[in-house]
Amino acid sequence: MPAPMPETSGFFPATDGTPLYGVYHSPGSRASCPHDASDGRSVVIAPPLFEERKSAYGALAQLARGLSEAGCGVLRFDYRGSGESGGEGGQRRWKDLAADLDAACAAARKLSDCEQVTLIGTRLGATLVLTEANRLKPERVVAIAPMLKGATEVRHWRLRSKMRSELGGAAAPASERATEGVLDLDGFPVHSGFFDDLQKIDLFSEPAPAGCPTLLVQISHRENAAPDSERLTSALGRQANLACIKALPFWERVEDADTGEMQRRIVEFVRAARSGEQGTGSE
Amino acid sequence: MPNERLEEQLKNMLVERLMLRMQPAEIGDTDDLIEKWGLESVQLMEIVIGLEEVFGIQLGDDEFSVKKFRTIANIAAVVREKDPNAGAHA
Repeated sequence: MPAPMPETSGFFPATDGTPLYGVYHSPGSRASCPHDASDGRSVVIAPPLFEERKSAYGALAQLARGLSEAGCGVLRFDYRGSGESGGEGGQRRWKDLAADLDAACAAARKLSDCEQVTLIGTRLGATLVLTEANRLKPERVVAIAPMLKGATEVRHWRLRSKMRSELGGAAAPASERATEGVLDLDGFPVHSGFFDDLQKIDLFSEPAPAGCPTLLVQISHRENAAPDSERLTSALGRQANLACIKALPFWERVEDADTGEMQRRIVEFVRAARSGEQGTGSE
Repeated sequence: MPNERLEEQLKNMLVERLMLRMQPAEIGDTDDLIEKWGLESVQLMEIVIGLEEVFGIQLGDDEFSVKKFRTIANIAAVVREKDPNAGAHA
């Protein structure tokens, strides 16, 4: 078993000074020179939100450690108003997530002494990474199960909240208990404007190639590509590849999910940057 | 399967999408999916998404209730209400 890689937790400032919490995983021994920008790689992991963040936390921490062992410096962080970051979830808008991702990239560059950053997003984080890639110009992008259409996701969130409310015997669905423009989504405060922002997002209506090698990761009951996955991969351009992994979605599971295959494919894809290969995340 | 009963299609969909380690035939039409098979909100949501993708059926907030998804028979009733031809052809 390799020696555990150092993990450092702390806060870094968002562009408006809001303290954002992050955990930095130092590059492991496979990096010939961890602080050599020509060899090391810097990774930022953009997480999901709400219940999905909680469920995905362990898997993303494992992914970070795997990438760290592979020689990458990896920063996991919490958006403002979530986890241990400052700020109010009920005041957060989509533009704030984008600004926080920006700040995380800056922090990762500083911590790893690497100019080029690879972005890895999961669910809402994947959608964020894809919509911001052209602006942030990452070296590589990994999008794990991105939310394709914000309107669909908002509808599903509302339905799930209603389910939980009924199963839990609550008087009214949580999302209906609004206070001054702040909705309650299963105990998480959400600005009503955040739902409005999300509903405008449609990865198909304005597909934009990230301008860099991109790995789209589909995790589902399917062994082959779902039509929407194929469509998005095509829309993302010739530098995009799709990895289909048959597994239960780790962002939906309370108990540990098997993410070994996902981790292996992502590490392979990110490491390919070092050798100059495009990398497909294939088996 | 040609002319497969809607209920059988739903059981197949449920086992496949939830990656359950069981045969679809083990699920009775009137089994309480929550009480007997331990389905939670996440899995019920997956069934809702399955109905959207497989049967083209979309439920609004006001159309959904846990009761409608408690049994395969109830889910089939939801599908037939939205699409009377569902399950009548391959």
